[in-house]
Amino acid sequence: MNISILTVLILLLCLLGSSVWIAMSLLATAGISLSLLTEMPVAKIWAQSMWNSLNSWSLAALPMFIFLGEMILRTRMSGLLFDGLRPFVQMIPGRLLHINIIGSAIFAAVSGSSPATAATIGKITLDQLKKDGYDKQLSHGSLAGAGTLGLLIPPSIVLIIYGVLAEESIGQLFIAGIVPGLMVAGLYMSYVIARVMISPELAPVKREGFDLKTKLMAFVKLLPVSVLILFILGSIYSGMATPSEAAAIGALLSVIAAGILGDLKWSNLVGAMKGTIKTSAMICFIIAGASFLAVVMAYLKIPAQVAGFIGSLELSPYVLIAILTLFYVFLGCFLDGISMIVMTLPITLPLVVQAGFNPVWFGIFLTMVIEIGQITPPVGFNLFVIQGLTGDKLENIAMAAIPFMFLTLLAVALITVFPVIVTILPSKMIV
Amino acid sequence: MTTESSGKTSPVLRFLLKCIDRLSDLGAVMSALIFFFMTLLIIAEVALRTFWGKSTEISGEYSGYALAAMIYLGLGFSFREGAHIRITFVRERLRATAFFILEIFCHVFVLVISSLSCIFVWDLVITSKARNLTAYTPAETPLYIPQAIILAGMAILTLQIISRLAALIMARPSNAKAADTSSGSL
Repeated sequence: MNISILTVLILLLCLLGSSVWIAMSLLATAGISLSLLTEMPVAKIWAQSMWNSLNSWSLAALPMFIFLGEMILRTRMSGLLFDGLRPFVQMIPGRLLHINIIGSAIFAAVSGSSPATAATIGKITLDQLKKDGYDKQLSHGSLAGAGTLGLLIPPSIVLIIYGVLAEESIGQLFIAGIVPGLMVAGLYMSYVIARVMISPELAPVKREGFDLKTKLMAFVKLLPVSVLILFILGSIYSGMATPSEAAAIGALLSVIAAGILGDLKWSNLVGAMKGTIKTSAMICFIIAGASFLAVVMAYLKIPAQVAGFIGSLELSPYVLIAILTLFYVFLGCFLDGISMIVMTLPITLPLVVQAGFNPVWFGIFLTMVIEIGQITPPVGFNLFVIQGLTGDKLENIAMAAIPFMFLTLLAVALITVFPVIVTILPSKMIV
Repeated sequence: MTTESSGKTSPVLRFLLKCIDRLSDLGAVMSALIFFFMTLLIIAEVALRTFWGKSTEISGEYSGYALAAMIYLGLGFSFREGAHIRITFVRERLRATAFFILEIFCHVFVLVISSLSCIFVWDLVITSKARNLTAYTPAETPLYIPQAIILAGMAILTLQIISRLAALIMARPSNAKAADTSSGSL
């Protein structure tokens, strides 16, 4: 291993390990490496990176989608979602357990974050599932797993960041996430169905009856969220709006929806705005640090060296993807998804493109392996969320999530062998 | 959480810390306003294009500046609120004194990095102004204006770090861990 790679690695590990804030660790690693190893004008490159990385029209979508999610959290929309789905899951073995999954998939289509999805859906389902006597393992596990759909089903914060860093179309990435997202949801539902068919005691026997009027009302309750989803995805897919524009209108619609549902209060707006600033500042500052580090790594020729080394091993593309999967799942045990992407992308993206993979495909692959990181201990945000909601032990929740982790791995294998799952929709996009 | 500290501290220091808190709040309010206008500008662009076939010409350029401005101005506030994430694996396992020392190290370290960023961005602003650098857009916006907002944001962050460091030192090792509010942890 050469001296530049070693310097960057050691600095990064020491700083992150001593619990220096991630964004600052990245800035510092980049600045120190650059001044130690090169004669470059550090101050100039440092300041330019801080400015260029965030002076970005595509990245503007990020706070607006975060605001949209924050606003929806503060409305009764999630409660309506539960009531609206309830009559329709009665036919499926495992009934209300599927609301965890379908609810998360639907909520994911208006929110870009995985912990927010798990928290919102968990708040409305977990108590009810417990009261009705559903198996705790299965209800916690399915929620932990399905919450990760927030990352894959557009709009997705992870895909915005990937698009900005990899210079890929965010619109294409969003649309590419739909089929794999539905596939993962389908796998989760099939697993729940199979478990309940094998051991019927996991779910209560009594089926709730609903009359026609209730069923019709259920459609009405699903209306607000459906309109939002149709608008956001429809406008991007048809080429009417860029993701940033869809985000702006989505943010406006979320305020209007809150008004219609009677949840538009000053306190809600202030709360949503505070949440938006905190989350966006946290994420974007990490992006600024990572962009500087990416520039520095390029000056130090680190990506080229790693690519050269991996190239010399003459791995088959599948082996490369298998190694990358293991690498990211391992990292995911300790790091959050966004930090993982921003730190590794300058090195891994050229590798996979060189091996013949499509960059949009790689974005979806990365999102899926990051989803796994969300539900693996010791650091797994969705586990923390469910722990916060239920007070159950982290180990128990992590155990409950294991089958869902393997199902996501299965999905990763499926998109690797059949990349068409990812590329089919973007290839048919109008723009 | 605000940097209120025990009654023993001097009134001048307490006043200064309070001022820094208010400054961070001001940054957050500016950030929110910029967010509002950015959203409005983009909605106006879509409306103009869809209904009148026109464009604002500046929506792309200015929403980029707006994003950078809203993020940097929000940094001080989000730092105080513990929103920035860090890996707390080692930190959680330390006893009071070691925890205190590590916290002091982390704060001093990020203070240095943040101060350096201020100096470097200051240079950037001065250079852009001296060379009359403008954006390659029809609006030809002088770049030093949006860049100066970044500087303001980084300055607020630096002050907020000083304020947290002061509060930490006043809290002493015995209270530092109890008073810890880094909720944005991994």
